[in-house]
Amino acid sequence: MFKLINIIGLSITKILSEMGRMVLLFIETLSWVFRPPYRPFLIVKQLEFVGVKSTLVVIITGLFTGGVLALQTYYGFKMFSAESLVGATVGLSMTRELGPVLTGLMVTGRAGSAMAAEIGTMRVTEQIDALSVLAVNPVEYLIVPRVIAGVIMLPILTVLSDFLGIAGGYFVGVNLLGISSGAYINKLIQYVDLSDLYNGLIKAACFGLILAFVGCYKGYTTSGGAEGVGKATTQAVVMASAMILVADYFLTALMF
Amino acid sequence: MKKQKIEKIAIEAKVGIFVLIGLIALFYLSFQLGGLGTELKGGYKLYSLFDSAIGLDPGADVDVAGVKVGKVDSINLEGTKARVTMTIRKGVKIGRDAAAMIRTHGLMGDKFVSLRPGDTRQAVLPPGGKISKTIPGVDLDKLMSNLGDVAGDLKSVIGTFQKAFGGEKGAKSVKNILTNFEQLSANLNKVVSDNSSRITSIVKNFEEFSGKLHRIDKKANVMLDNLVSVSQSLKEGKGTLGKLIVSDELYNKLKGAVGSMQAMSDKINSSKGTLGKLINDPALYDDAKETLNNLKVITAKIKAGKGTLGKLVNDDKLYVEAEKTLKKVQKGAEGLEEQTPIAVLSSVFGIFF
Repeated sequence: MFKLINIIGLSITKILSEMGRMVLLFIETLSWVFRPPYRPFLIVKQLEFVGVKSTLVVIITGLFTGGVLALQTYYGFKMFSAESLVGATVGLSMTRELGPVLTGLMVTGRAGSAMAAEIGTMRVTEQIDALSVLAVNPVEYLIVPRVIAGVIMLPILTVLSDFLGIAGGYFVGVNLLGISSGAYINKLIQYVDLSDLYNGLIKAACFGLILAFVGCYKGYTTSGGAEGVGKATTQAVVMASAMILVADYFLTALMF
Repeated sequence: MKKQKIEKIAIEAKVGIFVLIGLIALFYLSFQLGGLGTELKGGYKLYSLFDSAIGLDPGADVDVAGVKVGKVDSINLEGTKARVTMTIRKGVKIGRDAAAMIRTHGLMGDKFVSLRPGDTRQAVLPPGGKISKTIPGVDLDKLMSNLGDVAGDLKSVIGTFQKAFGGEKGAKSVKNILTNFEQLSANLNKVVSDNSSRITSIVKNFEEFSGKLHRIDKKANVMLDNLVSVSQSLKEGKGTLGKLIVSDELYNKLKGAVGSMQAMSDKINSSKGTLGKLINDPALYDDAKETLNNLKVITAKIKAGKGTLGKLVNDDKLYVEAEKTLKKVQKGAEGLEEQTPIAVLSSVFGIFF
């Protein structure tokens, strides 16, 4: 009985201490964002890694998400002959919700996990300690470029995803299902506001911050050799994805 | 070192291209979605006061003849009315007699403001102007509440029916009614089918009758026309009758005639002239009476054969003798035939005188 209470207490202190560590690391990261030395090359490298190399994934998810949205909503709208609203539905869901969230999740799976694995390996092989010895702040050198890259690249990837999703929806709706192209485009333009697009991009930037920071944090706090690296990678993906979805709700409630 | 630099550039180029593509996509989407927003920048504002702006949102479309020309900016309360301010695209003219109406896309669609631009050749509304004429749109809520009322009425009607026909008794009576109807219709059917030829002839007769009526009607029309023309000419004083009616000449003459007749009768009355005396003076009458009395006496005497004339009339002696004499005269005349006419004459004269 006493043991059970002990376990509960221990796990709660563990969770709280981890949250505390996360917050502290986050504050440190933020403080290094605006402080020299700036490392443009490292940032560009991370931009390439997070952004450019995720393009294919985002293109595929965007196209097919838009396509399947058109397909599904078409059958729904057909029941009360409002097929012309398919374009509006695809545009609204892509810009407001699916574009940012799916891009965030895909990039988490591809780049967030890689960050955790990379930094975790560095931690396990004591490269981070070596950096400290070289008088290079590991947070400034490893985490800040990745977080900046995430915040910058996610909105751009999301725009691509929105665009391709609408294009995929157009292809499926107009070419395969026979909705009039004018109705698709015009209803989309009529119902989707510029604010929908921009709010989606703000969301995407937040998701970029979350996935990059969680990946880095999990890698940074890795312990326990190769097994620990694997665990950190898995945890990073799960935690970042969950946080993205939770944050999505609150951001949506806040903005729309 | 050199290799690193090339790699650097390659990475930077990749990122640069990627960011550019992203920005192009962003601008394209922004431009497309912004659409009318940028077009409306040079537009002007108009407002209108609606009794109800229910369901209308800021940002709703404003259209003229189904073409989108602007957006609703804001909806505020002004007094008890909804003041709807809208931005109209530059170059779109709205006349002073324009009318605004809140309409709905389809049954469940968005509300939008539809403008009837009125006559734009004359006065055009300036920026900030008021569209004073508003046409109330079909309020779905009102329609629904009306429908609710109708449903309530219907319900009470049905309730009454239920009271009347409900229950076993009611059902039975309805059944009876229906069977009666069935019989009635069967009978009717029989009657009609049995007498179909008669009915046909009746219909035919009716047709003829109406045809005749039609012709009569035509004649009546002609008659009426004639009557009209007659009365017309009467009115115009054509023909005797017309003159009789219209001209007072004859009347005047008649009046004169009657007047002179009166004067004449007055004269007669007052025993002037022969006729007057004849009528009014009894002396002549008395004379005539006396004369007649005398005549009576004379004829009576004659009848009684008194006097010469009486005898002449009543006694045939004279006639016989006269006959005898005449015969003798004839004989004598035959004898005297050869004698000179003068002698005959003188002898005849001698006989008579």
